[in-house]
Order: sequence, then C-alpha cells, then structure tokens
Amino acid sequence: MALEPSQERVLQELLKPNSQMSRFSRKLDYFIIAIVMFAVMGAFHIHFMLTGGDWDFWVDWKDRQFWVTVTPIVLMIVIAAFQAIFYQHFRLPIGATLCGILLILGEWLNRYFGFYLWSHFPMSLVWPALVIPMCLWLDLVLHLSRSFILTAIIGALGFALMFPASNWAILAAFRVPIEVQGTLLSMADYIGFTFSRTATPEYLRIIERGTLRTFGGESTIIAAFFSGFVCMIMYAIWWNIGNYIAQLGWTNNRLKSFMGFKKDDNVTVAEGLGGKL
Amino acid sequence: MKLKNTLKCLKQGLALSLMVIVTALSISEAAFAHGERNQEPFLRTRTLHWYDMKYTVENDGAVAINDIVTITGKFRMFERWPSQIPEPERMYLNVNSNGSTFVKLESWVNGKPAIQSMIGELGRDYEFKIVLKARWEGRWHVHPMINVLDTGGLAGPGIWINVTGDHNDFKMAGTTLEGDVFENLSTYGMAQVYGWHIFWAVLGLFWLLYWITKPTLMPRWLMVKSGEYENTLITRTDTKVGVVMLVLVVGFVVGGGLYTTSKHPRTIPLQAGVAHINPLPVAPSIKVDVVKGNYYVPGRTVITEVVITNTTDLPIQLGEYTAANIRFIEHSVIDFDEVSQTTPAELLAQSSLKLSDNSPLNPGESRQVTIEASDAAWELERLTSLMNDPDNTLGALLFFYDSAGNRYITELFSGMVPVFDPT
Repeated sequence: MALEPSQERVLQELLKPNSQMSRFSRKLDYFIIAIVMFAVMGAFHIHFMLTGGDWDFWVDWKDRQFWVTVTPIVLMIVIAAFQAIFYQHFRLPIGATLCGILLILGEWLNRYFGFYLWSHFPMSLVWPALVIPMCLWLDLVLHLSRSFILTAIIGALGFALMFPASNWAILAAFRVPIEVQGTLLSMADYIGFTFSRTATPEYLRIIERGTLRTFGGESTIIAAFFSGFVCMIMYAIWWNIGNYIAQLGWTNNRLKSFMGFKKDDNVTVAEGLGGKL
Repeated sequence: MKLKNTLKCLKQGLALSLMVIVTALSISEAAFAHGERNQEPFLRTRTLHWYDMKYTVENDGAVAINDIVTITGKFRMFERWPSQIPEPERMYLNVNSNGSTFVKLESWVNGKPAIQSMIGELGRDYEFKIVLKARWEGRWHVHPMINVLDTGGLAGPGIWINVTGDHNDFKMAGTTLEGDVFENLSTYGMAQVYGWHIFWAVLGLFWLLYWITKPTLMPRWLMVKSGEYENTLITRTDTKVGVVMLVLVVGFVVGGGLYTTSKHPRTIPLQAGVAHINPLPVAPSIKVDVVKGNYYVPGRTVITEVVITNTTDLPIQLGEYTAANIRFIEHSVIDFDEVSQTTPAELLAQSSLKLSDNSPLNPGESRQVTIEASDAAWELERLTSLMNDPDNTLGALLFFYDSAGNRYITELFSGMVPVFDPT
C-alpha cells in the first residue's frame, strides 16, 4: 500500500539518523513499550489465571493430560493475537516472546508476594510452568517462514509439543516416587498433601481422567498432540481476531506539530498516522 | 471563585473520607478465624458433628516452629443430611489454618491413611488423627475440617495456637524411593526451577532486546504500510540470528529433557485414586422421638420435647447435647471442670443442660422430657439465624451414659419454632 505524501515525508525524516523526528520517535517507542508491557502483563496474567489457573498454580495439578492439553490452548488465545499485531503492523517477530516473558514475570511476582508471603505456601508447591521456550519457537517459526499458514501448522503444533518437553527438565524431580504412611505418592502429591490448602482439597484436582491414555498408554504425548491440533485452529482464529482488533478506528492526531506539520495544517483522516489501514 | 469553591469542596470531601476510613478501622475487629459462624445453621447442625476432640496443645497455647501438634477426634455424618446440598460422595480430611502455617505430617481416618479423598457414609462415625508441624510464626486458628465435594469445607471445633520462632528455620527432611535425601520439602526441586526459568528468561530477553533496541514503532509501521522496505525490516542478519536461536531453543529443550530423564529414570504420574475407608462399626443407641422444638429468643434457649426409650440393659442418663460444635453438659452426669479444660470456652455452654427429669431411665422404659439448652452461644455463633434458613430444622447429638459408664450416641432432629414473647 502506498503511503500518503505526508506519511512519506515523515518516513524519510524518520530514516535520517539522529534527526529530530527519529529522536522523538525513539522516545515514543520507550514510552509506548513501557505502557504495553504493563498492559500485556496484566491482561495476559488475568486471562491465564482464569482459564488455566489451578493447573499452573499447584504442582500437584501438573498432570499428564489436562495440564498438558489446556495450558497451550489457553495461552494461544492471547499470544496469537499479539503476534498478529506485532508482525502484521511492525514486522516484529516478538509478540509471543513478549507475552511469555511478561506472563512469567507477572506469575513470579504473584507467586512470591501472593502465594508465599501472603498465604505462606512454599515455592515448591506454586512454581509457574515454563512458557518462554514455546513462545520463542512460535516467534522463530514465523520469523523464518514469514508465513501465517506455516506458523499455524508447524509453529502451533510445536508450541504445544514443546510445553511438556521443556517443562520436563523441572517437573521430573516432582514425579519421583516416595512412600508416605505406607502409600505410594509422587513428590508433587506429597507436597500437595503436606502444605494443605483449605479451599482446594485433593478431590478438586482435575487430573488423570478420561481416555487420552488409551493410545499405547502414552498420555503425555497423546495429550500434547491433541493440544497441538487445537492450537492450530486457535492460532488461525486468534491471529485474525488480533488483526481485526488492530484496525479498529483511529483518533485525531494531536501531536502533529511534533511530526513536521504546522499547527494550522489540515491533516485529513487518510493522511493522519492513525488512519485506517 | 468557582475554582476556589471546587477546591474547598474537594478538601472537605477528602477530610470526611479520611475520617470515615479511620473510624471504620478503629471500631472494626480484625478477623483471623475462618468465618465458620457465617455458615448457615442448618448446614452446621445437620452435616458433621465432631466429638471426643483432643489437641496436644491447649487453646491459646504456644509452640515453636517445627513443633508437632496432634489433633484426634471423631465425627458423625448426620443421617438427615440437608437436601439442599449434595450427599458426601467424595470428601477429604483437611486442616483449616491460615494458609500453610502448619503442615500435615500424617492424616488418618479409622487407622487408614487419608492422604487421598474418601467416600462418606451418612449416619456413621469416623475416627481421625491429624499430625501437624508448626511452620510459620503467628497466632493461628486451627481446625480439623472435612471438605465435601460440591458442598465445601465443614470445619470442626478450632483452637488458637501461638507459633513462635522464625519460618526460615522450618525443616522437613525426607528420602525419595530413588534414595535421594532432601533437607526441606519447602524448597525441594527449586534449584532446577529457578535455574531453567532464569536461563529461558535470558534467552527470551535477548530476542526481545535484539528487536526493540532498533527503531521500533513509527518507522516500522510506515515501512510495513509502504510495502517497499521488506528487506530493511528483516535483514539477512536477522534471519541468521533467527536460525541460531531456533537451534538453541530446540537443542536446549531436547537436551534438557534427555539429561533430566537420565537423572530421574524412575518417575510416576500424579496419584489420583480414592481411599476406601469403612466407617466405624454401628454402635447401639437410644431411641429418641421428637415431640416439638422451640427456640426462646429472649432466653437464648433451645427447648426440645422428646420421648426417650432406653433400649439397653442398664439405666441411662443424658450427659451431653452438642450442636454445631457447641457443647451443653449436664453437670450432674459429667465432670464439667474436666470438659472445660479441653474445650475452648466459646464452644462450651457454662450453665448446665437442664432436663425436666434426668433421673436414671430403666431398661425398656420410655419417658417424655424437655431438654433445655441455654447459652448466649446460640446468638454468638449465629445459630439463631436458623429462622432465615430455607430449612428451619436443627440437628444435634445426644450423649447418654449408662450406670457402667458406657456411652450411647443418638441423633436429634427437630423443627425449630421461635418463641419471641414467652409470656
């Protein structure tokens, strides 16, 4: 799409190293990035707590079926939308990684201040799952393929497969067996039993149920592939929703004097930087 | 002038708000217990009845971090379970404290491990034991509790425990079946958790910084819009960096997984079974038929008229009436001083349980008597809000004793008609 003459003028100014406009643009970058960071961290964290909450809160909910299935699917909702916005409009393959890092930052803050200091749960019970490797994978597939379709097929499938694979490095120690009161438990079960939660009794756990294990007895792999197929669909849906949301409306440009226009210049909607794509 | 008036109003409004907040804070009590009084009376009197409760620490006593506290007792699953809530198809013996201020070392029901949930049977009794270890300093209200599926937590009688020391001194060591010894369950496995989280955060931050240290928003948006700068937006160097990152990501995920599997070759899934625990054997009981039940509002007294039939071989007397964890003791039958040493004062009626005739009831004999349970606890424990409940009935346990000292427990189930003016 060709630029309006005024936009072309702005771009040429921006491309000049150390020009007044490029310096201003850089300051605007930092300002907006700071706002975006808090907004994404808050929105994504709330979304994930509401949809994948308990599976991620507690070590004795991190099972082979539901945790593996649910987590990538609900993560994909926000990640695909942000990836679309960052890539379609700025050609920045960082949407997923940005979401992943900010989610993890928010989760650690929440687990430390909320779960540990406020409610006295130990960190061994409430550590958050790793999501950054799968987000990096999704960004890198998009970056290298430059294709929404390939990212939906290869990236989204790998996104789901990489979740249990990357988390195994920290989860395995919690699946080591131990004997307690003559009963066989995993260390995760033992931690969940020991550090009791008043309102989250053992029976509330939605774990190890259903028939996903029936194919060769490999629950985790089956669950991860199932999650991967759903993630492909979720990616396609939420990529397009993200794209659509990014094009909603425009606002009057009150900063035009900083962008090379005079105060009395009549900048039309089509010319304005906030104009519709 | 207008602005001056507005500012004045704003200042006055702020001052008033501050006064309201300070007043509210100064007259309100801090809530440290668990809101058990807020549960509806029909729920508290007709679900679980706790009895024979023993704690190895006195109410408001002190223990140090790492000290052990044991709670033992029994509970009756009331036979006339309220129809408004589901029956206890799945329940779990729990401890109700402020977060993990105490940890559970052991949990037993009828001598069987109660680590997992179990199925409850109405009208039957269960004996339990919970062994706790103090973990976090403070003054805590600790209850045994049964969580019931789709009903929620049903708390037993609680006591206050003062924990002294520093939570950083808490220790809980153990050995896995692989033979690995751990010093503290609170920090078990956290070295790997912190290590991998930091590693991936560094890699992720590198990727982010690689892109956002370049001019980011406005120029890139215009370049994308123009469609003529694709090679400027993503350069060959960017592609090379992307390939290296992809190799690193896949390599560390696969390598990390393989290394971990070799380190922990024997792992098991989360255990999600159900504990099968039979209730205690059915004990003989006394036949009690309710004639009527009233609550005398001014006197804070529940009066129940019943016909008692002695179905045992020895004369019996009523010794105790308990509802919603409040104990009403017949002082001539049971040593009140002994009971008061083991029961928190707020859960023990100070005046004696009164019966119109509590002389020993001979075997096979029936007698109509009125039982008066009178105490301010009916109000303080909010049990009189029964009148606002959808099911205006009261449940209680009656404890009879025969001349040989044997105890018989009978459920009492009665409608409750309020009497506002006894004259």
